[in-house]
Amino acid sequence: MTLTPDAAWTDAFSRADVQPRLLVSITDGVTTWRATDGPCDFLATPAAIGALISAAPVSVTSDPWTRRIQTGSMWARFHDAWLREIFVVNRLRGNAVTITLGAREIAEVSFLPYFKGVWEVTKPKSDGTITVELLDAFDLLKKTKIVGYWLNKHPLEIIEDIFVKANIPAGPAGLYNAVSLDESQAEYTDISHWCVSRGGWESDYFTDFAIREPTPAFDLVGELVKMLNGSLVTNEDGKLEFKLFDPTATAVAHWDDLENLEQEELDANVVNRVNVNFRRGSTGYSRMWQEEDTDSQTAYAYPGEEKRILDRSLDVDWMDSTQHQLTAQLLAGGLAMTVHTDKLHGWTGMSLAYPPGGQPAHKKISVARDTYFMLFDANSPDSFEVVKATAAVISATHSAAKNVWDPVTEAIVTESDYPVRATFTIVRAQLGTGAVQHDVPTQVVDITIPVAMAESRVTRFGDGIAIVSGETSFIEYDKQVGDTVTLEEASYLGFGIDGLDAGDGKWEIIHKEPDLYAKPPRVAWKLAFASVQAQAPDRGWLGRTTEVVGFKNQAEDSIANEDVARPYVLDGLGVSDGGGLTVNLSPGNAGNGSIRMKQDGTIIETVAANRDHYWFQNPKNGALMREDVAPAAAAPTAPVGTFFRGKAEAGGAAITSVDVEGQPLTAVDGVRLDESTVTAHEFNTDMELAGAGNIVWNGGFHTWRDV
Amino acid sequence: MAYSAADLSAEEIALAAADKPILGALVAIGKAADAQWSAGNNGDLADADNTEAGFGAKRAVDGFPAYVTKPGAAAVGHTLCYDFGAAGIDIDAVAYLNHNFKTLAITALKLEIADDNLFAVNLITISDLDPSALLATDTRLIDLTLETAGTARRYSTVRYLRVTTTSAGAVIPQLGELLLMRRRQMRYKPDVPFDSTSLMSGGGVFITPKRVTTRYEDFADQFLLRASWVLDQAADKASITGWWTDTGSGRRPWVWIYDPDTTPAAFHLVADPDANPQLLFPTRGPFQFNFTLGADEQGPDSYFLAQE
Repeated sequence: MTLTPDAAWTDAFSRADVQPRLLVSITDGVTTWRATDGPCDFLATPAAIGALISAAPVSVTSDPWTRRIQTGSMWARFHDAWLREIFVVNRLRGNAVTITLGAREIAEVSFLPYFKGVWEVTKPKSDGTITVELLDAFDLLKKTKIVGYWLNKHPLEIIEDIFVKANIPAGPAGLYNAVSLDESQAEYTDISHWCVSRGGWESDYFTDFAIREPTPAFDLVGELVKMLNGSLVTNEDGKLEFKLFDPTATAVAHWDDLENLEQEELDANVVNRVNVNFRRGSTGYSRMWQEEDTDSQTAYAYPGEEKRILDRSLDVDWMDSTQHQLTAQLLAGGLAMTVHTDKLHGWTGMSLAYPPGGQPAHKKISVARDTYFMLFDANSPDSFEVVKATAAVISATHSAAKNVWDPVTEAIVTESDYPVRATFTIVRAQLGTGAVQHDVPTQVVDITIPVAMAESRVTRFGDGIAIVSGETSFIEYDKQVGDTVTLEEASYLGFGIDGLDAGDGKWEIIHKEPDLYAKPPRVAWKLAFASVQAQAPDRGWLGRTTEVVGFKNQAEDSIANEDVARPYVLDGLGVSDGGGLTVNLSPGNAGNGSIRMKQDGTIIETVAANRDHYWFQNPKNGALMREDVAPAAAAPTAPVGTFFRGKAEAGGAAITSVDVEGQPLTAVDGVRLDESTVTAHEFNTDMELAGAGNIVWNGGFHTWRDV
Repeated sequence: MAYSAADLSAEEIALAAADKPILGALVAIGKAADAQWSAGNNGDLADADNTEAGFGAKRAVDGFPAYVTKPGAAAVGHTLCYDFGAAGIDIDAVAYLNHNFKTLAITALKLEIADDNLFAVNLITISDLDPSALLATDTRLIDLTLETAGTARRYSTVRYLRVTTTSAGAVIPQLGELLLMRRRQMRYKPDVPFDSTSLMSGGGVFITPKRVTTRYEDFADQFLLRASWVLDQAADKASITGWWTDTGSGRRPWVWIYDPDTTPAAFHLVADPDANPQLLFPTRGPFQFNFTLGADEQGPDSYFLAQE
């Protein structure tokens, strides 16, 4: 929200002598009680003059790295003689409280918002005053815990849904600005296609990242705001509002007379390597996207040190299922790739608004927005590549409905029509990588958001982020956290800056604290340098992190403990004719190492006529995939991590045959794998999936080493 | 106990006529056992309570002029009734601060006392003012001559008291403070040097490095009373001690009337700003003693005399 003072307000606060006034309104929806901290000449309706003794400053701070918001406690102090009579006969707790800021001589309509929230705690004192603690929307968010799951939604959509779950009221009189959470707005055009998920299957053994335990809504929102790299603030109108960090935004003011300007320590927060950890598995985050500022690393090295790496990480729990597979070989010159996912969750540009074409344009992948995929070939780990998708056609969905446990209703919810396969038009060799051939199996990881998160930080923090604090009079009250300003200050010192002038760059307001009752009254500010480097940082990729490991296969049924483990059928899981063009997939159990998958009921699949249908299933999550080929065509290759479940041949109107021959029925395949060491470059995906516990996670691993 | 009445002493009357200051203790603060607005200008405490919710009748005797009391509906006549309990109060002057009587064209503003809550027993009118004629705007009103037959009287142990208003049209009067006083007449003006119009403004001053100064004003034109006397009569000491007691040992606001004959309406509602009020009579001779008085005008500043 933009605070827009009118001419009367500006005139009143531009004078050499200002008579500021706070006007507080307390309402239970039927009766409104009003009080001011001094005489007001033009109130719309009467108020108790002087009954408001003071109010706390409205303090908001945004951390430029984590984007976490801190707000100060809010209270108002009233004259006992006025409030007592009201309090005795009215339950005031929970009532809406609004405080506005104006001046004695201006009309009430010119007053600006100062605070909006609710009455919480009343503290009578023996000095003739009563202090009331007030809660704003942030406080309500912190006090509220929620559960839930979200599939294929924009982070801003999820934030709004969290508000709804947290009972933050909506609408004009509500406590959040819905427009700021609308990803179709112009300021979000570069990221409107972002898509994240937090949820899982009903399978007992899938790593389900739904919020099942009551979690502070504030924490969940903070994770998403960090991802978006913006600020979620409670502006003076009391509404939660999101603001994207935009270093190119026009400065709202030029400040050349800041009182008490202080610089924080320089170089204290240099970050020249940013790691974005995502895709959390049972042993921690399994994927990391890393970007570096090598100039900074070289420049800040100690004597004798080649480089000085100052790294910092960002963890993201909203991209746990962003890894998929190529369905066919991609030649070095290929400009289209088809990707298949075995997860319910989609990826960038794949919102749940399916069928194809059902998504609004701003949610789709397009050449105007960055969408990056990392391809890494399990058999050729040296040849990873980043491609940029410029268009996508969703070519298949999971035809069967999938059951998801909804922590809110504590019931099973059926989700259907989610994307499972898409063909992307791609530009090869992005972000410093080279175009190479990729064979099946090749994993495809959506790194759109990690790239954005890392790049935005490393370009800003590579030489450290200067922070200054200072104070102004209340004429600057209308500026907000998230706005940018320019400064002029002769004493300023920084790398490349001897004394500040407007051309040296913009500053993001990260702290605002207006205090009418300080001596003297003032607005305190903290500003963080907002300009980002023009140079593209170096980029690096770290996958599943092992440096040098020794491993053995540890298959459950192996006698010699030397055979490769694999997914297999324990019992049941048959395939039978369900009548017409339907196939019944029977209940049963499957396993993979120590993982067990249980299917309780029969899954009924409706199939296309005159096609051969193959089912594959992943015991880690129960995901069921079906591929159909022309009659008598070669069987499709099982996607990585799955086992062959069964086959059905369909005629024109009925199933002609079913077959489960080829189902793996033992835990090991009889293929020995010698004990050896393996470097990260030789890491093989098959080895990884051969059995849980085979590979030891090395949490101390930082970088590849040449071998 | 019924109220009693006696004329002010000749000395009191003469000293007031000579513009010697009056210390008016506000004897009703915190004493109202019952209070309400009643309909019509002959209402009583047995009538239905016509007070507007949130604007209780006791607000007019709380020492804070900013918090008003008013009835809930407009009418041509209203009655503001009080019961000050069995002990009653002693009054000999009345003033009205923060009202709208002139704006509402109230033609009759009466102060009446009685010995019963129906205002039927020994009912008398001791003050009868016409704000519409007396005032140009809603400035403070005072009556130092409470009487029924021309001579100023003091009424003791008054339990039941009411203020009635009459206007041509239906109105909603409001009153910030009903100043019911028990006066103590000073024998002399304060010793010189004495500033009878000492004023102060206050707030914060924000000064930038480039020396741009912005003053944030909390209040303006507050009267500061700093007075001292050299007195020599035991009766004066007793009188001042009585005033001290009537102000709750210095804790409650009171009224300073500097020129009770020439400009009685130029009175100030003041209070001791010291957290520890003191009453001191340091002796300076066989009979003489000093008496020092310090008090600041009661805010907020829109109710300062200088801003009326």
